[in-house]
Amino acid sequence: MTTERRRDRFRVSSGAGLGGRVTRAVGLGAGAALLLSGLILDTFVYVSLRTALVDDFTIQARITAESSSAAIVFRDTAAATQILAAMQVSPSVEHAELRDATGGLVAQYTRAGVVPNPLAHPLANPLALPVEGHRFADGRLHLSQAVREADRVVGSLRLAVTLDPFYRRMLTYVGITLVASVLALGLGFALVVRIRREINGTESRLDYLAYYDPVTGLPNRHAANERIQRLIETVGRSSEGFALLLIDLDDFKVVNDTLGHAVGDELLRALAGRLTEFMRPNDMAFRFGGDEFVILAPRVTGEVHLRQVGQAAMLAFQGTLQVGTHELRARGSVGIAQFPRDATSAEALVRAADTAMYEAKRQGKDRFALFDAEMYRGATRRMRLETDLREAVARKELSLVYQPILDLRSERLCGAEALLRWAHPELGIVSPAEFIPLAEASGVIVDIGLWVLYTACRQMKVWTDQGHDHLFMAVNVSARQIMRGLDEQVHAALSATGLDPHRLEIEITEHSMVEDIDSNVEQLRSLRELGVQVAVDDFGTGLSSLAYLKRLPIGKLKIDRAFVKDLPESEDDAAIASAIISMAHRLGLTVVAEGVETEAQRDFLAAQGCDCLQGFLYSHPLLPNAFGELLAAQAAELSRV
Amino acid sequence: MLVVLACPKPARAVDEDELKAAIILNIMTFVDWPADASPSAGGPWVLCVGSRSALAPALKALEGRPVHSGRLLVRDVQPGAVTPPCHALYVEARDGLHAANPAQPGSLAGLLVISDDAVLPSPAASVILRAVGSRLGFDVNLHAAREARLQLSSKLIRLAKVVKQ
Repeated sequence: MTTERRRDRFRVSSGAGLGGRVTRAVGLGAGAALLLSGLILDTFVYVSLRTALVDDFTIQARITAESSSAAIVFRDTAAATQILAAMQVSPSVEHAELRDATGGLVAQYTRAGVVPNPLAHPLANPLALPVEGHRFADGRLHLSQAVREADRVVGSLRLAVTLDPFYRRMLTYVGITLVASVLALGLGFALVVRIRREINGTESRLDYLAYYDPVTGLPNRHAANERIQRLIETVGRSSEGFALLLIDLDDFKVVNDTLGHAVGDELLRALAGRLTEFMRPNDMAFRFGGDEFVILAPRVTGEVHLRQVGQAAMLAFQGTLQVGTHELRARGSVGIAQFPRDATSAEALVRAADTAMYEAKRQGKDRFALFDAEMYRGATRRMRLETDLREAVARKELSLVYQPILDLRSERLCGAEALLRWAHPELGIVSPAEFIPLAEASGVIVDIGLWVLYTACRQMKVWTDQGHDHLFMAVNVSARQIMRGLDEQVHAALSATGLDPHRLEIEITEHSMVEDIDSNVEQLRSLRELGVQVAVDDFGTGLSSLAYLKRLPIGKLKIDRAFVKDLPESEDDAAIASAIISMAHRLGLTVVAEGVETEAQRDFLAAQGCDCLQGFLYSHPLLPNAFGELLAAQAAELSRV
Repeated sequence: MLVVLACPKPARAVDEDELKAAIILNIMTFVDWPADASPSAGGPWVLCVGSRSALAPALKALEGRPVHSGRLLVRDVQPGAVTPPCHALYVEARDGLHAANPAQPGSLAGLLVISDDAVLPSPAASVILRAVGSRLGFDVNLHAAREARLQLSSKLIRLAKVVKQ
């Protein structure tokens, strides 16, 4: 996969450091806990063992004292020595001695190999010891036990017990504790490392989800924003600037709606592959939104360079893309902005690219546009117009003018096309070509369209009531209006104004019929049953699909002014115009030519059998009063004939 | 001071009689009398000794010393008249007391006979003193002790040089 090599660019680097710190903290904490518990345990063992030692030797001393009382009483040194010799079985006893009540030594025992006599130590002086009791000194336990005979103290036994075995045992315990602690710590550490590894795995998965788009495999908008920020930081240090290309697919919604989202996703994937294919190695592609992509091109400065980058991006849209069983041709509009020339922040840079992209779309799509400040002013104006347009109806800034439509054979007025005008209080007259697309985009067109419908119907009713009952009123409707239920709107307008349905003509464009054609056909059919006429406006500039033409319940075609303009000199246009007329007649449709400005054009069209004309040759669009006068003049002329 | 205290006390030069008397007293502490032969509570423990015995003065000197729960009382005995109630009787070969009432063993019940005739002790003597080298020791005659219904402490028996069954 082409995008695979770009994945590692968005790893969250702080994760490893944090993980390491956590591991170390857990290790240290566990170590400290183990050490503390080991210390407590060993202290407990130390105290217990010492107490047990004192107890054991106290008992031993008592037994010896008990059996040695007679020997002391009789001062039988031999017997006393023999009794003390039994201490041999207790290897810890280094020295033992029996004294009589006056302190005279009766017998003593010194373990073989022990020198010097530990009791000779000043602290071990027999008189320094109480008659009974113990004391630790000099690495030994010194124990003194009274020898009694029938409640009479007859002497004393003193023991010096080496603590070496005790210390050895303690050392063993401490060693075991340490080894166990180290083992536990090692096991714990291994466990922590394993968990850490799992966390790392999870983190990278989350990371991937956070930074990558699962459909295309490209980094996502989040990643793009971070990358832009990083690139901005390089400007002034390692680069002089970079370019941001915002790519928006044209009419992607059509693909999604007609072929399904699965095919739409497939198309995005294929296109992502294409985009990365035509990028320079250091460029990065991102999926920025639904059908938006961003390419960041580092170290791009100057208009020539920017244009090269734009052309490279457009290469991705050349040729067809194989998407499943479909062979699709993707079209896209690209807006290009350069940092720092066009913006001073990441947000502003994206906005600039967005503005340029809309400019490319406005210029007819399937192209790229470089951002310039003028564009921004245009966008600002459009934004203002879009805002003001919402109030235009209420403020009565909109008005209608009527362009006469002439019957070619009788040379008489046969109808009028209602055309919208907007007088902006500050900006003056705004061209419909400028504000209608804005109204379409923002949805205000629905309200405006309704107002146009009512106003035109009301006007037509006035003229009909004046006796001009052979005319029709052509009203343009937008796709949005059709979606909102055109038949109901027309019904309401007709009944509110009392206009005869036969006097109304609805003009639709081929383009407005693309979405939900079944419902649209149904609506138009119901209108036709009512008596309303339906015409296809601007024929020849849109899809010009003959399949549509066959399905639509229409009665009229209007040839777009583009084909009329160069008549009769342009052979192509002449061929197209005559073909349309001939085809329309075969289908039983009436044909109206728009934008007729010269007599040569009129003659050509008349020769081809065109039914009606409209254009400056006869009249500019007229205010209601002027149109009324024209009607009155024609009526007077007719009555004179 | 410590140095002085640390030095073992020099053995006091006691003469043989005093030592012997002390041993006799100590032996009495390691013998249990039958209840009917013991003095009433707080009563004296009577040690009889031949009036002509050389040991008499030394023994007399020990009078009043604790024996079991009572105190020692020393009485002189004339040869041939061992009638006073004695708990213990010290006999020497020369005072002839050992021959006293040999035909009446029953009268010896509850009487601890201590002899110092190691050569030919009285058969009634439970404890016989004798010299062992430069020191004094003793033998025990368990048979005589049993006859006298006396219980000799095992510690005493253990110190005996010879134990006759």
